Amino acid sequence: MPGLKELQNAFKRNVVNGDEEFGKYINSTKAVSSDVRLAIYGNAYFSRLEEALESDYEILKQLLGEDVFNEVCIAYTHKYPSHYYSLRWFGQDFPAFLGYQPGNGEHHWPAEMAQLEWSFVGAFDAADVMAATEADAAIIAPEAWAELKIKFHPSVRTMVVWWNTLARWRAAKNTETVPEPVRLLKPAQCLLWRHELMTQYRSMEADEAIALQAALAGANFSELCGALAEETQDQEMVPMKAAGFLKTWLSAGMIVELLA
Amino acid sequence: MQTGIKTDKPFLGCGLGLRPEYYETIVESRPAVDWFEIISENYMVDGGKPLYFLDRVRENYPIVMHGVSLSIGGTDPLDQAYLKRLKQLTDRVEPQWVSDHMCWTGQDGHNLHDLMPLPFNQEAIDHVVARVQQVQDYLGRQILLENASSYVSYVQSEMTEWEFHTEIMQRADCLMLFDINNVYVSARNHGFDPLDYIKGIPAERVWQFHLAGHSDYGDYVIDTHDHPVVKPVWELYAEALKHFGPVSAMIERDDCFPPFEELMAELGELRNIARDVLGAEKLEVLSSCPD
Repeated sequence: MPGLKELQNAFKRNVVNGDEEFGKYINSTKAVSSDVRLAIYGNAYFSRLEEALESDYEILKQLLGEDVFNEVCIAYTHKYPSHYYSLRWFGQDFPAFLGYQPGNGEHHWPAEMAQLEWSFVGAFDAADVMAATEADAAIIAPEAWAELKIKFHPSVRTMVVWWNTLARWRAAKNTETVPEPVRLLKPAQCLLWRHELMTQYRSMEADEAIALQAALAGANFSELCGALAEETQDQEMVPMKAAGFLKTWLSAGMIVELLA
Repeated sequence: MQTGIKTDKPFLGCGLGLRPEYYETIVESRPAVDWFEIISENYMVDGGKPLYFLDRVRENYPIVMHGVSLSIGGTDPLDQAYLKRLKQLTDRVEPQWVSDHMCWTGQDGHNLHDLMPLPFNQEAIDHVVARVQQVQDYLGRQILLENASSYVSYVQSEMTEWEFHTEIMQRADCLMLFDINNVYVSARNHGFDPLDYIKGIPAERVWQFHLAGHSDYGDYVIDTHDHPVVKPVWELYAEALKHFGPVSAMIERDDCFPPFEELMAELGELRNIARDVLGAEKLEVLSSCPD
């Protein structure tokens, strides 16, 4: 007779791969065979994990359709079995599984939609930190601005979209007609964060994205202006532009601390 | 009718599971519910809505914590990262108690996210007892273990499920979350008398009841928590109260969520049965409960 460890291993193989060998350790009754009994666990395994993915990737499911989404979920479940104590993390490899390639955009739209939805998941339950306000900026001494560093709310994240993913997500969410997937003429920048309890998103112009990426990477205000200057024709406008972005981020609740 | 059973276990009254579908209703209307149970893993996050509403609800209600990932019967080492997070959550919530299930949930780090049954034999008892002691030492409190529903029984089992639970509780000095619906489900699936189960468990170890709905397929029953509690489970609840005395009871609903008023109506039924069995006096602590 197998011990506890071997028994559990055989049961797991039955649940995940349908390994029939395990059936000999299970009692059958007249009314219900061991196969039917074991199938309850096998079915529950895949349906529970698919439910978790449905909850994280609601719009992707809607756009792919139930049958395709179901097939993809089963394939994902086999390739990326859960190693997490909470289902919260099970879907984290789904964008990569679908071929998401943030650097060059050589992915199809489902991968990008998955990445967008996963970004929302991350923003939804990121750590709570009190947002800074414009009053915090007002008390910074003029000579301290050059070295000023910006600490963002943990929910802030950015992504590049190569498809009309944002428009499609918004239409689906608002139960409007969803446009067909098309590649954009040039990639667009998307910003996501949580303000108080509400998850927010919007697209960004290229110069704001450059400034934000620099600040997120730890650049001080002077370095941020330097990054912005490379993309700005009118150099005199750079400090004003940078200050404008800072004000926008502060009023949106994206910043938690200004480190002078 | 009075049972006359003396017990010093805490009695919270009649509760409900705290689910996101009802967050706003609960915080805004402060319904007459004596206590709430949370699924611990749903609050092992860094921030946002789940923890916000948890804190708001905690301001007004006692809370108990119920986990699904401890894998007390698993053969992987206990997950220290999980235990650490669980302890952090207990520090935040200060729950009346902490529970999980008598089951295993995965192996070799692969989590099946299900409550997998254990064989009822001496090897499993020795294994679980040692792990319960480790968990209780780490958390600094006794834990409650719930009887899970099961659809299979092993040829390796050497005893009944209630004998298995009892020996573990006595040796590990832990407590029980007695799920009445699960006893009903398992009794139907395996053909035992649910009253034998109730009679086989020492009353002083049972600190909490779960009641829930299930899906009935005729030859077998699946524990789905997506229907109202059925009559035979209400009847079993009354029998359990006679045997165990006053035990904090709650209704679990995890799918096909009805309007909150329907859950409150079920809660009223829960309380009526408790009043009938235990006597109105015992239920006086539940002055905030609806009639």
